[in-house]
Order: sequence, then C-alpha cells, then structure tokens
Amino acid sequence: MIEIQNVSKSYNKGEIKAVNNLDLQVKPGEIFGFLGPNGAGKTTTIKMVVGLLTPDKGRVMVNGLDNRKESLKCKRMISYVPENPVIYERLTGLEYLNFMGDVYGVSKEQRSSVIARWLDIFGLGSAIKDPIKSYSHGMRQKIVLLGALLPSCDVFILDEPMVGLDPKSAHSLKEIMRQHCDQGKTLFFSTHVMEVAEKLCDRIGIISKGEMIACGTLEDLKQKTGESQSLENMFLELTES
Amino acid sequence: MKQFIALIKAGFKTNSPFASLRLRMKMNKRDRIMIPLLGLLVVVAILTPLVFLLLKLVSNLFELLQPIGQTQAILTLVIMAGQLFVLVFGIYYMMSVFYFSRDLEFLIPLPLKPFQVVFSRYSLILVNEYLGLAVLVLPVFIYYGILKDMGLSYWLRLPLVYLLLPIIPLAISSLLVIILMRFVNLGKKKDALMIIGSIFLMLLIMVPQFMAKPGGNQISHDQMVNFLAGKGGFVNMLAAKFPPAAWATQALEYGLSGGAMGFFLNLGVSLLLLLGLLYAGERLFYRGLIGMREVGARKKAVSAAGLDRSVNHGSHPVKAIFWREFRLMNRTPMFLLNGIFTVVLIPGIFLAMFLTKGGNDGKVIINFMTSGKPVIKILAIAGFCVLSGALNGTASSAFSREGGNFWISRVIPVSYRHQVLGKFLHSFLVAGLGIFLASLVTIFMFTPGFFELLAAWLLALTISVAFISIGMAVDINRPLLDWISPQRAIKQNMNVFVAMVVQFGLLAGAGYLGVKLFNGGWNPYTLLVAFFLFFLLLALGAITYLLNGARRKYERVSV
Repeated sequence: MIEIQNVSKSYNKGEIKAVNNLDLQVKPGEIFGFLGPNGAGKTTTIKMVVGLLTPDKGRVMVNGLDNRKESLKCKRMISYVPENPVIYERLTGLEYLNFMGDVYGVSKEQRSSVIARWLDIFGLGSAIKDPIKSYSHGMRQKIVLLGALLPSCDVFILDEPMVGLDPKSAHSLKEIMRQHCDQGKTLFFSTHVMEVAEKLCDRIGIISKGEMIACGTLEDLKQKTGESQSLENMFLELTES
Repeated sequence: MKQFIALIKAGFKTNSPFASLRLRMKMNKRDRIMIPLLGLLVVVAILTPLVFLLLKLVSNLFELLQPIGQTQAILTLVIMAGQLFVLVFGIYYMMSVFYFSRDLEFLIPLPLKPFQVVFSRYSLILVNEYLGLAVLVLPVFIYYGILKDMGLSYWLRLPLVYLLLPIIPLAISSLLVIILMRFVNLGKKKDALMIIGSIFLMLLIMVPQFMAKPGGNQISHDQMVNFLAGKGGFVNMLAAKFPPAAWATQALEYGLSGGAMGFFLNLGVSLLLLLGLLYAGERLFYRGLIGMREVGARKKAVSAAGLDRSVNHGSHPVKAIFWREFRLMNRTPMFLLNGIFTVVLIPGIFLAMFLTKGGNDGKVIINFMTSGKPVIKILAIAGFCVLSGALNGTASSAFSREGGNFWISRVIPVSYRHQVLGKFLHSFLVAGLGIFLASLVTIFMFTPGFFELLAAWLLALTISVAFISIGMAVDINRPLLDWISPQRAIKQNMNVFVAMVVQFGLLAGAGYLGVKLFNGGWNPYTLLVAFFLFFLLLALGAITYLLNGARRKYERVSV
C-alpha cells in the first residue's frame, strides 16, 4: 500500500511549486493510474515515492513504513521503472539483470524462471548477451522492466511505462500489471495514454499544477464531470477548466 | 549565418569545461567562491612556476645565441613546440569532438550542412588551443620582445602571428581524423580505437624523450648552439620539414622588411587548409560519423541451458557493486585510460627510463642517496608506490562516473554504506595493482631488503586508503553527474583536481614536517613510525567520515 500524506515539493527555493499538499492512498491489489498534463507533478510525485526526491512537507508511507525513516526496507518493497530508461550502457543485458538480482537478493531459480519467461515475451532473447548500448529505446525500456520484474516486489511503480514499447510488448505489460495486482500487490503508474488508463485502472487520479483535481474510479470521474463519454474528454475538461 | 553562430554557441555550452564551471557558479553559491579560488590556485601553484621555468630557459638560450646573432632560433623552437603540441593533441581532441561526443546524435538530423558542424567543432578546439598556447608560447614571445628590445611593430605583429599559429596544425589534425574515419572501417571498434590512439599518443610523446637522452653526459656549448641554430641542426632540420614554423618566425622577427613573405605564406596556407577542411567535412564527415554510430552486437539467441549457466547464484550487494564498478570502469575507454592504464603506465615509464642508456646512472645515484639510509629508501619506495597507485582519478570520480545512471544507486535496496564500500574496494584494487607494479620496479631501482619493502608497502597501503577515502569524500560532496562525454566525468572533473591538490598537499606537508623534525634531531625510525601513525589516523578518520556520512551525502544529490 502507498500512502502519500499531505506532500509538497517545490523547486528553485519555492518559486516553482511542483506538488502541493498531495494526499493519496493506493491500496493493495489496486492499479492506480496517475494522469496529468506535462509538468503537472506526476514524475515529481513518483520520485518522492521511490525516494529519489525528498518532500518539503508531508510524508510517504509504503506498507505502513515511512520511506525516509525506513528507506532501505521500503526500497526492498518497491520495483521502479523510470520515464527514461537510462541504464548502464557498458553492461550486457544479462549482466544488468544479474546485478538487479544481486542487489534485491533474488535466488538463482527465480532469476532463471523470470528471465526465461520475459525474454521470450519481450523478444530480447537474441540481445541479452549484447551490451545495452546496442539496444534501441524500446529494448532498453524492456530490460528495465525485466529488471523490475525480477524481485517480485509488493509495490510496482512505473513512470510512463508504455513509451517505446511495441504493441505486443505493451499488451504483455498490461497483462503483467493485472496479474501483479491479482496477487494483492500495489501498482502505481503514470501515463498519457488515456485508453490504457481507462481499460486497466481500478482508480485514476488527475493532477494539474501540482494539485490533485480529481481522483476515483472511472464512474466517480464521470459523475464529477457529468461526462458520459471518454476519459480523454473528462481529462481535457478537468485540466483545461 | 545565424544558424551557424547558434551552433557554435551551443557547442561551447555543451562541450567547454568553462561553460560548465560558469553554470555551476550560477547554480551554487559555494561554487561562486570555490571555483575562482581553485582557478587562482592553479595559476599560482602550477602555471606561474611553469612559466617562470620556461622564461629562465629562454633567458639562458638568449645568452647563448646572442653572440652569433641567431636568437630567432628561440622563436622557431617555441613555435615548433607549440605547433607540434597542437598537431598531436589535436588528433586526440578532434577525434573526441568529431566522433565520440554524444550531442552529435542531435546534430545529424538538424538542417545543418556537415561543413558547418565541422567548423563549429574546429572552432571549439581552436579556442582551447589558444588557451594552451597562451601558457606555452605567448610568454616566450613577450619575454623575447623585451630581451631583444623590439620596436612597436614587433608588438603589433605578435597577436597576428599568435592567432595564426594553431590554425595550420589543427586543420591538418582535423583533416587526418576525417579522412581516417571515412575510409578506415573502424565504426564498430571505436572503443579499441580510442585506447590504441591514446597509447600511440603517449608513445609519441615519450619515445623521443628516451631517444634524445644524452646518456648522462653534459651537452657542450657548441653542440647546443649547433642543435639550435646550426644549418644541419635539429631546429633548422625540423623547420625545413614543417615550414609554417619558419614562416611564423620570419613574420614575427623581421616584419614587413624581411618577413612579409613568411606572414602571407602562413596566412595563405592557413586559409587553403581551412577551405580544404570545410570541403572534406562537407563530403566525408557525415559518412564517417554515421558509420561510427553503429554498435557491435552479436544478436545470437541464448539457449535455455546457456541462460541458466549465465544466471548468477546471487552475490553479496558489496560484491555486486564492486563488479559493476569494475566492468563500467574498464569498458569505458576514457575511464580505463585514467584508471588501470595510469597505474600501469607510471611504473612502466620509470622502468623504461631505467632500461635506457641513462638508467644505470640513475640507479647509481639512487643507490648512493639511499645506501646506509634505510628510512629514506622506505620513504622513497612508499612514495613511488603511492604515486603509481593512488594518485589517479579512480576514487575521486567514483560517484561522478555514474552520471545519468545515479538514479539506480538511489533506488536499489543496498545501504549507502555498502555502496560506498563496494566503490572503495574497486578503487583500492586499482591502487593495489599500481602499488604491486611499482614494487616490482622498485626492486630493480632500489634493490630493497625484504623488511624495507614490507615497511614501504605498509606505509603505501595506509596512505592509499587515506587518499582513496579523501578522493571519494571530495567526489560524493558534489558529484558531476550531468556529463555527455565520459571525458568530463574524469579528465575535466574539478573533484579529481581538488582531490589531487589535497593529496599532494598532504604529502608535501608531511614531507616538509619530516625534514624539519629530522633536522631538529629526531630519530629517522621514530619519524617513520610517526609518518605511519599520522597516515593511519588520517585513513581511519577519512574512511569513517565517508561511511558514516554516506547516507546524508547520497540523499542530498538530486536525480
């Protein structure tokens, strides 16, 4: 479970308020989609949840633990895929996965089975022993995803995970996300693809200018906006008003 | 033209170390004081003594050559040295900015002509060369003018000759690089090319020094005069092979009365070569560049059994961090050259010096200085081991080298203490290799006894632990993570420089104090123990500071 409690973050000594008094709870077994225009504060929020940024105010709890005070325990519970898959270019794909397995303490059996399964689905089998610098953007995205899938963490946090993925891999990822939550785990992801959010998410939060302007199930949002149409229309109405 | 100016500006902002320093000064209050202070330190502690030595040499040569009216040989010599410097380093720099800089990927799709990109890169390096020549050549030109009491026209000619100086050699370097990259298919082996190129460059600098070694004999006055100003002498022979140096000398020394031809030849050839470079750039540059963007990949499917064999059983996180550091450092040519390559090179240079003609004399001198003084011998061996192993940029760039990948270190569930320990062990391995190789060379140079060697090792290892911890502490305080070329992370990283200043300062301070105490009547063995205890305490303090402060420091870095 993720609890974001009254969190604020600003840049440039308070000149730019990236996130303002954000309160949010993502329950176990839930897929939570985080939407918002560019610069709304999605990535800042995600970075505060995974511990890359320190909030100016408020706190983030992961499965009941404060992610600042118990940072190491929290990290063990979180798998994170960033927006931009910048990873060690001079390692091979397999070396990167072994590194992630080592730091998360994943057994050889689990590594072998997860890697074998997802290499096939992602079509990375022929590139796994090549240096990551020879990978395309999509391949890098897949290897980061695979690294995040290795440890089977309780909380899965993805920042724009569909960017760069081919349709087959995007489809497989959506399946993983659903399976992940069916096991009672928590999934929090940001996206600009309304269709994905509409079909996949149990709840959706829309953030604009650092503030949560709407949060709930698709039905809740429809009631709020009085829209009976697509999420895209609701998103536009909420963020442009 | 506007496009072109924008391109040059962008090139300076992304590739010039000065632009990055300016940005740091703008962003960080502490840097506004620290950077000018360090700059001043460089000028006072390094450049001023260097220029002073150079001018002393010029003064001696002037006295030697004045009686025979051949003082202009000084100008030829310094111009040739400057142009050779530009030519040789130009190949290296040009290769780096033409083909290894990551921002080129953004430039290729832009509506720019290849020659514009080539010329913008050329200008960038040209400005850097002017700065280099301002230290090497400009003081000599000025001092020569003063010594010879030159008239006003000399001072008017001086800036023109200075501005023309690097154009020809740099254009030649650029042309060589562009042609090589286009016609030799090295695209997929660019890492190997970078390493081989650097080794070649190093040899090019070192070999003539060994070859020119006078064998321990003093050069006679006549030999020196002939070397500098004789018809078949070295300087004139080289000037005949590379006329731009002779043209520049004529232009500067004689002006319009006798040097106009030299000046116009210099100007004409400079323009011709620049046009040639632009033409070659337009025709060949992108073709070579696109070839270089290809990356070698096997694309061979892995069998299930093969995959199972390649999957680890699991390592301790410290071991995982250590191997990550080891692989990334040794697979990135620029990091390799400043790490393991350096610790192999320094003992190698000393060994080569001792194997050449003058080596035996050196050995005799060292043995004379250290015989009957085992403490001096121990200190000399330990000093050489530290110089070889611990005075490099491995530790002081340990965090900066992560660059954009630093986010991984922040999110993985490995304590920051363990991460620091993994990095420390990697730096210690590099230092250990240097110490081991240096020890082998010292056995040949100093012929120490077993206990002398053991004492020296203990001292060197203790100093190395202290220096590695200090280097890492400097880097973790303000890691340079926003680099696009690995060169910036290690060679142009202020942290590496600051750490070296601190380390050399500590060695110099300890040495000064040691001499004072020795002269004050301290027993040399007591001094040795005091030395050891001082560095042991320093090592313990530095590593404790590093490990205890790891979490605070890591979390302060914005990703």
